Amino acid sequence: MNKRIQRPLLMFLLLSLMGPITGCWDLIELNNTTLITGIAMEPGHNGKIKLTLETLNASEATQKGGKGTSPSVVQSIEGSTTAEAVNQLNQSIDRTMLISHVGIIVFDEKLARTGLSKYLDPLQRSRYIREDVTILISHNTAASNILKVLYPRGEYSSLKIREQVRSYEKGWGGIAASRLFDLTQALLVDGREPMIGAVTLNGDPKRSEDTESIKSLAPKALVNLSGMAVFRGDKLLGFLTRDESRMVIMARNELHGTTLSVPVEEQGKFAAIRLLRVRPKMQVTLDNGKPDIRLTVDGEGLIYSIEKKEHLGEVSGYLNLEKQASDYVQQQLAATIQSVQQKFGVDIFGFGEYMYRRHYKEYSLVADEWNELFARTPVKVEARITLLRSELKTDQLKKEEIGP
Amino acid sequence: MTSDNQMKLEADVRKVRSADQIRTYLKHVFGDTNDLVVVSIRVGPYEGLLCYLSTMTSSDFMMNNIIRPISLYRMEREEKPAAEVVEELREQYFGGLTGELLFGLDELSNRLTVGNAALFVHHAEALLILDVKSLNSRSVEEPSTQTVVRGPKEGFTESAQTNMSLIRRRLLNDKLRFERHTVGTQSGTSVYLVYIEGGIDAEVLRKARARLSRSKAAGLFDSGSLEEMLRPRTFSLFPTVYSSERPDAICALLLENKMAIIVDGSPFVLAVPAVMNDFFKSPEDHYQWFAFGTFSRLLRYVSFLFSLFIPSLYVAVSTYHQELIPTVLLTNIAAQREGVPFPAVIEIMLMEVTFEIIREAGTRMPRVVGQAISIVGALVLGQAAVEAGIVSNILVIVVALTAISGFVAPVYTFGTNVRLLKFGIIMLASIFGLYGVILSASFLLIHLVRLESFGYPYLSPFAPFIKTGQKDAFIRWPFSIPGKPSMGKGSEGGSDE
Repeated sequence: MNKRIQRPLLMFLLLSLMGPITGCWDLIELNNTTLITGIAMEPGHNGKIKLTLETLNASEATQKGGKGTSPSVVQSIEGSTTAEAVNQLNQSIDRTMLISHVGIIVFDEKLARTGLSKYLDPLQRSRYIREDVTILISHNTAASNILKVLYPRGEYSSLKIREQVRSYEKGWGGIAASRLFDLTQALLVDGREPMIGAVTLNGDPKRSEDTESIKSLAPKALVNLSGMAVFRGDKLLGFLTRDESRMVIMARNELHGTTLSVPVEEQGKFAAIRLLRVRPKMQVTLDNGKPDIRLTVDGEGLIYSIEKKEHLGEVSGYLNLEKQASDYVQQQLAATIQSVQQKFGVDIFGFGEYMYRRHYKEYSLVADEWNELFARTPVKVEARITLLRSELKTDQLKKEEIGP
Repeated sequence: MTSDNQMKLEADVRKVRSADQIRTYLKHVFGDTNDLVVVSIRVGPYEGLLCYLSTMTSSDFMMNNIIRPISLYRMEREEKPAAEVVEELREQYFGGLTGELLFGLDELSNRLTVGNAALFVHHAEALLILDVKSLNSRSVEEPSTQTVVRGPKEGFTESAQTNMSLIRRRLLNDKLRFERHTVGTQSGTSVYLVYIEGGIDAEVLRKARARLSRSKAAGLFDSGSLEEMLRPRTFSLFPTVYSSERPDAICALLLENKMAIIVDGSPFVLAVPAVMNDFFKSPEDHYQWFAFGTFSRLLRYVSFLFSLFIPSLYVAVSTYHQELIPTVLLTNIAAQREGVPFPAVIEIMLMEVTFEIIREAGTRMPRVVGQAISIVGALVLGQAAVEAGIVSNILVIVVALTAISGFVAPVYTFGTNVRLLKFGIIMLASIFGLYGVILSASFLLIHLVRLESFGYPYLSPFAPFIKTGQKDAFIRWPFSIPGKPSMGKGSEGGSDE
């Protein structure tokens, strides 16, 4: 055969060989699929796991809107393993599932108390599930109820909760970033126990399922962020309140900013301080197996409001307020740490991690009993809050007095 | 004609003898063509014969420059041998016209076809050949391709003479050379190689001459056909010959030690060697503030990538890699795809082909009906197709972005050829997903790296990396005037020949 034809022909044949090697069977057309946007897991019957999946009704979920039907379809299914249950969902739902866009995964608190590991495994293993999927624990309600609450802004519940977690974390700091990645990290790290954000349901879940419920001004049910769930290993121990969560997050240096209501000398009056930057510093040493734990928090903040008359025109006014804010943060932190020590007896702050990183040899001796050691050790807390400015006004507005 | 006659004629033509002989010869060569003028004319004391092709000159020109001087000569009659009369005429009366003497007839027909007139004076034994070419041509107008907002508005015309003068008046340089060649066995079209002596790479010149002389084409009516002869043998969709209607662009390339090629009858002047970067340069880059020049050049590179990869990325990502799209965007796309009956690849092919039809129709259709195109294109095929649920909204955006990006390249031929690649990449993307897109990008890169134009690597100054060339590559460096050589010589004897 002619040389000039031979080469291109060979090239073509080689290229056509690639056809059967890979390809088309992975093809997924968007109009034959539906996105799974939220997963809730809770115990089912006979030791099975009950999976509740929120699948998207795309044309209703967009801002342009569709015919006014619900933006998502929530279906439950039971199975021995998570993966099997997901693949079985077509028992009741028409299209193939796309799991890569799952936004939140909610575990029931009953499930979490038995240990999360075996439920996390398929999530960590799958190449389709993103590492930044938000993991939550349902508190005082079944996990499936969380996905059944509609929200008036046309959003399906998982998107709403995801945004809610993000905004709350940024604005007030009552919940830590609890993505799959963070959880995996916390499970693997030495000297720090995992925490996962907790959600609860306010209102009547039965009524909130109905699309009619979101037509009223005040939604019949709302998903609330209720703080953080505390774990020992992969087993749930209990829950922190929102205020406690904020202090724990502050100590862990994960706070993006928060607003404190600092009580001032007069009874029942407060000054609002917006904390902008918080820099906690840990110091842990072991002395003959006896830990010495110190926590220093430096913070900068703005004055948002003062209810008593403080003269901010003078340095003393600022100093006074700074002292009160520092005392308040110090006292809150100390109380939170104490409460965690007494209630759970686990180190969720990462003091052990600090030891693990800086004094590995000493830590390795006490690694197994660190949580108990921590629970017994009083933590010395110090806080120094610096106030930068007081927004637009120095003093409260008041009328000039008339007369000499 | 019998072979006897033929032989007689051939023996005859070596020497000019009589008017009758010339008449017979011309009758034999030109037959009955209507534009052949053979007239008897009296030159001083002698009988004469004037012949020319009326289509290559104008009667005005003939009257003023040939007939009148001859008649003036008759006034001051004086007895002289015929040869002296011819010499006198040539020197004193046709001063402005290059006149030469022809002693045989065999060259005569060629001379007449290129626009010369022949004057025969009895007993002179030589023909006086006069250049009387005078043709109508379009005046210099603004170029219709490669338009600029700021910069010279002159464009090349169909006349090679005009084009050469447009170049010469920009480069007042005694090293500027125009070298004439003839291409086309039937058409005998003049082709001029333009270069600056001393700067031009001798190898480029040699290759160009060789390729011109190798050409066996019957006719050459536009530089586009010549472009094909100048391209390397390896198949490529990327043009390796630059073409422009703008004298300033061509002059800038001449200063970069490139060679321009003017084809008589074509307003598009070629330049070689052409590297990829040349096709992203607009002369205007240098007439504007450098920051904006740089911005628009980067924009061109980006839109080149857009026009190649946007549709295939859409197909790949929406059918294989949904996890790459942000959830909210995916929800939107999914909502629009809801109820579209075709798979994404069919949908996009449908719209791309539709666009190509609209484009082709827009180019070919008479200007008067041009309005219909925009109505049919925009309303019927765009909006109505979406409303009828045949294609999705996002796809119309993808196709429109691709189409518009394809037209950004300052040299039209670059955009059109690259457009074909797009279809191949879409097919690969629909079979292999992103893997297919990456695969085609790699093939493309390998191909571009291998490609050479007259011995110069197509990707220079990027690969091989030439530091001085970077000042006029992605970035239009401030104070960099056009015309700095920026190419690197590639390996000897590459894919070029």
